[in-house]
Amino acid sequence: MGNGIIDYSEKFALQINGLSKIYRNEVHAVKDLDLNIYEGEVHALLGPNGAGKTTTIKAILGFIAYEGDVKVLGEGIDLVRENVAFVPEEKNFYEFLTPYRTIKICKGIIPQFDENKAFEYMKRFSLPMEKKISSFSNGMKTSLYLSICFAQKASLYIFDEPTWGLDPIRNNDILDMIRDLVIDGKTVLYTSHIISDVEKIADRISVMHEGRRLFTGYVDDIKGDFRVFYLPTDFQGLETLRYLSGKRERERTVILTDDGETIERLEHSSEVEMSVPDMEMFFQILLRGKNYV
Amino acid sequence: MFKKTLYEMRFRLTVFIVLFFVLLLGLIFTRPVIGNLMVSMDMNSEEVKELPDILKGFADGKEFEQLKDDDQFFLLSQWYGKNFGQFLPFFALIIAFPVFSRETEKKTIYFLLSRRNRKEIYDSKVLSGYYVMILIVVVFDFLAPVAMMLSGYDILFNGNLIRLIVQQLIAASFFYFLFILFSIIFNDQMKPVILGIVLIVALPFSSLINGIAWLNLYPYVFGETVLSSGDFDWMRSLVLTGLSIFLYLGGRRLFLKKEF
Repeated sequence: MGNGIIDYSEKFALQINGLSKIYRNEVHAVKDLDLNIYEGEVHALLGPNGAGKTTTIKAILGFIAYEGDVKVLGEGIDLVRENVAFVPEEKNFYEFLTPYRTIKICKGIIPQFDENKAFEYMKRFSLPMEKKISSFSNGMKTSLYLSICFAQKASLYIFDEPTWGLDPIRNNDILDMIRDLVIDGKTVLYTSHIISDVEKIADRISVMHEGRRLFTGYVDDIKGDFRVFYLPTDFQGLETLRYLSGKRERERTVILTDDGETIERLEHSSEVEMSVPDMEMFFQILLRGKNYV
Repeated sequence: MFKKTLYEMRFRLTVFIVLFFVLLLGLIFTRPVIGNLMVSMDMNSEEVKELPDILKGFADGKEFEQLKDDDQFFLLSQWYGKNFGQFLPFFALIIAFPVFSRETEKKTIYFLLSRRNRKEIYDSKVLSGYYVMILIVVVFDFLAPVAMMLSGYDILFNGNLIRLIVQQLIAASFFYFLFILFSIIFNDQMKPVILGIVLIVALPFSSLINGIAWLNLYPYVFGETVLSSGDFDWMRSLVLTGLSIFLYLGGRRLFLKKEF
């Protein structure tokens, strides 16, 4: 229940099995995470601050030591690094460089870097080519980092909060560009706090909370398969219902379910209200609720 | 990566190159002044008697005599043993400390770590800085005798000069790889700089304590044995070369395991 249908005949761009990470300060950032990402999809990793999204990305990229198994494009990360492009949460680039110099230096560092594309993207984002990055706004720094990333020919693109600091117009441009990557056969792993962005571009989402994965599934299935029911607090038989998450509000109990039997039982009940959840509602109930009430 | 490293250190390099040039000009222009001073100095005068003990040790007559007449001794003692030599550990520190600590502090390290494997990053960053430092040391180690020769002084590229240059290169390498290790260990730029400065400043004091006097590397950097007896300090050279290799490999291991 709750998980999207996994077709094992498809190829995985990323396979994570039993990933756990405990930092030195005893913080258990990721707990026994299993996650598979198909080739050619945009997979959004969602969760509140401290959910373990960035730690998961750091483990995928080999920035930290961890327990468990992570395969990127079927291999250990060090064998496929040239095929992975990454935009980190903090878009800090070398402040002493200008965008022009950045492109020249990236050409020497990134194995599959298309210089012309980088110029093209930076022009499209109206970046001043001869100004030092230290004078850039947050939005400009994000645009610069994204230009470098999009100019890299890779099979897997990992974006950690890619639209941070961007205005709404540029934000939509970036989302379109991320979507275009998938049209070109690339795979995207994407983290964001902005649910509306995720709704626009993600094929599947995984929701993390306190280091655990609460849900993985197709965005389209959320509206299609899930229902939210508002039950009176004295509702009889709550314990017999099957649901992904539930929470008690002041005078009612709210449950989120995709279980056919439960939906059939409740949708005709006169004492129960029903709604079709949008992503925001789905996310809120999932994170604020429990799988028992 | 070499281009990037060079670009990153261009300001620090410029400052040191200018400083070394100023010192070099000072060396050439003070040569006649020092020579005349030595000629006019009466070793039995009250002024010399009132010098602190440490200077009296130096002013035992022999060095003063050599400074007066011997251009070669002047070059070896004043350039390698003083002006340029005393800046070598600081030069190594300024080149080495930001190599990793700046990238870690500013979080630009993620750009490199996600695109190249760690062995490549370590080798290219550490060796780029090392080659640049060695190049500058070699240039100024050779430029001083050449400049003095062209200024009409009696300078020879003899064994002592080469022995001193080799010792300085070995010492500079040791300091560089030690400070690279600091740069990996710390996640900010302040700690490796402060620790490096404390170490450089504290080293001469070790010679005041019996048993650890050998920790003071300055007599080696200044070529004490070369100047006094013309001997290359084999023991320290081998130990420092071994330590440099150990520090390079140890730093590499640490960088490969470090969490970012």
